[in-house]
Amino acid sequence: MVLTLKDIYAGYGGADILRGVSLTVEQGSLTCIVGPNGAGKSTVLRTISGVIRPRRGLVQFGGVTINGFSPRRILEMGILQVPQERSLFPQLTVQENVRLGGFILKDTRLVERRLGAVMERFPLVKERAKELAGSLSGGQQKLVEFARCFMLDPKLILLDEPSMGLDPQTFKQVFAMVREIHAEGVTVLMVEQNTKSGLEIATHGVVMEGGMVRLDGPSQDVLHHPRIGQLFLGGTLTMAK
Amino acid sequence: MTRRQAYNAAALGAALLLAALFPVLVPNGAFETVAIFTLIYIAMASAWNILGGYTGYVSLGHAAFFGVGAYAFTILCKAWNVPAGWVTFLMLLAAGAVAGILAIPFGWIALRARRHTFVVITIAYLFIFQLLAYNLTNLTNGSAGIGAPIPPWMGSSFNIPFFYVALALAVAVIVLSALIRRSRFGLSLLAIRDDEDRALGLGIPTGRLKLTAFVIAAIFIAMAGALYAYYVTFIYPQYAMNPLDDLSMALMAFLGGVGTVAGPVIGALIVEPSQQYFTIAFQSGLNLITYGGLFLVVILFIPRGLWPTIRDALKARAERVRAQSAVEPPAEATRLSAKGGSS
Repeated sequence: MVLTLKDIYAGYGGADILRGVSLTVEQGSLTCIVGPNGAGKSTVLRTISGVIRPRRGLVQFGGVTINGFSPRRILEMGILQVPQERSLFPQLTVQENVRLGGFILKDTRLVERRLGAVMERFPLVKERAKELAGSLSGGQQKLVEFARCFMLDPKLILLDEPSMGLDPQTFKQVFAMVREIHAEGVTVLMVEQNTKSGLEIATHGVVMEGGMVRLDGPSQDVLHHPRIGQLFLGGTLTMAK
Repeated sequence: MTRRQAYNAAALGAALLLAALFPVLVPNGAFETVAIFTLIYIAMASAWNILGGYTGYVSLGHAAFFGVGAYAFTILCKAWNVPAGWVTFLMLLAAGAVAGILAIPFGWIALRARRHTFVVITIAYLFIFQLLAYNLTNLTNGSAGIGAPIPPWMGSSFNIPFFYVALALAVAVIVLSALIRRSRFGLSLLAIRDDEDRALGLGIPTGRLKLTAFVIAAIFIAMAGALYAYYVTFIYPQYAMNPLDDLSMALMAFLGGVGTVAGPVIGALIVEPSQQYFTIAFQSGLNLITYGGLFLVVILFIPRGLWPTIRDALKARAERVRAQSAVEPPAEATRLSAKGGSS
């Protein structure tokens, strides 16, 4: 188990969005959290990355309790989040954006080595290195955000709705990249609105509603659970079957 | 070294040589005075740009540190009986140090706010310091002003030491600004300018870095203030801590290209000689009206400033030419296709 959440209560301004969330993420898995709007999916990711401090419960990563750790310390532990909204600096070049991903590394030679490796791995970063990040399309920006994660040798990547606002072609590219990252052994915890696509590429699925986990298990079991369509998805999955 | 880098290095070397030879090429006291003030403003605007341009925190209060530098220089020279001469220029470092130490708590407070609130707080700083200069009469002699050491140079040689020290200060700030721009620290400042919360999310200690930029700007602006005090030999609160200096620094950076290394230099080279000309030629408030008009023109028509606008226009033109030459078929091929078409 790389990540465990036990009975988490957390939210904004005193109101709890998460009400007793417990879930586990296995080492090397691709876990996808699905559920309707307001279910608390993104709040789970923000709690793990230290942006929100849980009021109650435990967050453990690799056996270490990380409740109350600063976002920087959590970053140093290898937990990286790619947020839902665009997170690149539009007035900086693609290369500068990726370089900033390794800001917390003290060893400048290591930063250069990692930058070189990222450029080899992500041709887009190499081709558009000197261009302003703001000039890239939404999908390209998302790919650069993924690339930036690899400046820090991630142990767990948190992806918050990676398909949001993307056209079908870019959507495929982004999901292919998620698959590729996972295939390399990186543990991924993803929140996704597109339930079917998310669960299809995942190894594990978690269904949330009203700040609680309603269902979890192997993603195929979750995807084909008889009640899931009626419960959260207006019957779309049932119809797809 | 690439061809472009070699070209840039040659251009910079030529500009520096030209600047160093200025008193020889133009041996005129009035022009030398304008050149000294222009160099002082180059140093000030470039230092201001490290905070205002790189982090996006527009300070309209750093002229307070110009005054702090001027007063610290004058008071310390008196207190330590520093003789007038070349050695007196070393006191610029002491003035910078005093301003740097003062800037830490003031910067820490101001930088807890963002955007407009930050601007308002810095404006308040300027007037707080000015009031202190008026009222701490034991230290500053209040509105009667205070005298700095009288430089020993006379006649046509008077300006020369000030010119070369001002040139050295301006070059030092430009080099520092360029080094910061290319460093990890500079990249982080630019990230803060783009989006401070995103920068925090990457583990960038934004508070510490912003404060460092604030203090660096204060130190070099104070050194410029100290040089000013030594040059004019007598300082008053209203001139040492002048709101117009804040506007000038911001205007120079925005006109030339805020957030670039060259921008504040270009801005100062345009604004300061023009301002001196208007002051001498019209002896009225026309220079102030010009300031206001220029600000409007810059913000409305060239919001990124002259340097980035011209640089990008030249780059776009070069790309257009390259694209056209790539599309145009060779002359022989055109003739062949024309033959084919007619047959």
